[in-house]
Amino acid sequence: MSDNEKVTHFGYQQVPWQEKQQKVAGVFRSVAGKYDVMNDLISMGSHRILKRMTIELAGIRPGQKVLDLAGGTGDLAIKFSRLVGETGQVVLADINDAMLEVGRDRLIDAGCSHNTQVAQVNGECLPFEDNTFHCITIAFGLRNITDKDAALRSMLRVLKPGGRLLVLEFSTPTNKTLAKAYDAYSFAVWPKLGKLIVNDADSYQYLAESIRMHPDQDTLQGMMDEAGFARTEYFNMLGGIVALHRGFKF
Amino acid sequence: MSLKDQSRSPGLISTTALATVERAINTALRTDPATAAKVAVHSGRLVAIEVSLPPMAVYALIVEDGVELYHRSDATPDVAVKGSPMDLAAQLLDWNTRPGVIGGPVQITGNSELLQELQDLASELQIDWGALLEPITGSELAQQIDFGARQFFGWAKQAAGRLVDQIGDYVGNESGLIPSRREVYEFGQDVDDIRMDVDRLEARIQRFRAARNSASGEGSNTH
Repeated sequence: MSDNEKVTHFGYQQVPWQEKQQKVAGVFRSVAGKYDVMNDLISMGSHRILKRMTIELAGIRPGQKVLDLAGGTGDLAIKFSRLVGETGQVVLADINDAMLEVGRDRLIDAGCSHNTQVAQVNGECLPFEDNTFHCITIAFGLRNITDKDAALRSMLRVLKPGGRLLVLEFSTPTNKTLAKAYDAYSFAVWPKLGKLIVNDADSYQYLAESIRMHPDQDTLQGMMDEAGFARTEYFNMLGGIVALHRGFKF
Repeated sequence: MSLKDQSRSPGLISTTALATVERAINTALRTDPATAAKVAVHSGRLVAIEVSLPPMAVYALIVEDGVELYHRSDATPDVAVKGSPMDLAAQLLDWNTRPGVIGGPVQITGNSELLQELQDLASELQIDWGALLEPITGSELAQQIDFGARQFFGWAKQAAGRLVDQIGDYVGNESGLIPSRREVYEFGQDVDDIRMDVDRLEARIQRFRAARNSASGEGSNTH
């Protein structure tokens, strides 16, 4: 099947393979300005705690190079900038220019411009040399990438031997009752909040749908194994609503 | 950090608690810009606080706009403080300068001057409760609350100090359950004196034996 005939999912819709990237870009352009406010609202602040847990498992040391992929508004990049210190380097990367613009401004405001760089990149084909980074994080971003296998292989390539990848992403709740409550909450409340705050219900309808289309914990771990990561594991958070996957390059 | 540690999932509750403490510290620092500026001078320094029982560690990274707290860190801390919760409290809250028994040994490794400076800054911190509450209550009520809070915390600090003294007096002097620090010090001195006396006695015995052997050797030569 040629690329022109291939289809993929965009939420619950089937769209041509080539179109998903543009459609996702449209979603994030629409919400970039109020992205953090919306995250706080729909997650009831818990996304900040989940990101802290990711940072703790990243094991960053001074002098290291870190890639914060799909880093959006720079939450993680700011923390990493402080952890790697003067001798380290952090690259805040995202495919979306509107999100990067917000992220770049936040890095400057936080006094992190001395050891950070901002790059507009496609996660499926990262424009960095082999064995560049000690750590790569992608928080709530892998779900939006069309070819996740290609992205995982690309991340493995640019990781240094001994380096680690952390994928923080929505996943599958481990408890059925929790899953039902979470479904009801996300499909009923998120689009309404989106309409109210950013005047865009569709983007948050997409968010709820895309989470259900994302591979579950074991499937994603298998994809990481398949891409070549070693010692892969995952940590369920909030009863599996979110999972943090980790793998190493050896 | 060991591989075993790295495989432990960070706890949601403990992470939330740490985030809350971090927020409280940074909020307090924002109300006292003078102290915040002095803390910011140490930006980039990492302080490790390790509690022995229950085993727990908190790493405080000083940043330009306050501190960031973590449960784990792979970086080498500039200064590490290790001890029991009571000993650490005594050290960090400056209780151990008081006579009494509270405040046991605390293990400090690394830059102890940095720790002392941070302790001094913590004791200088003047939280402006009025500035914190003004957006919610309005300036007039905020000033009243600020005044009341300063009085309350001043009283609480004095009361805590008196309580520590009294507990120290009771446990150390009245009940006789635990020796006071002075008694432990004097006991240590006595042990040192006895050890040195024994050393001297042993040296004299050795000299005496050597002299006797020498004398008996000379005697046998004469015969």
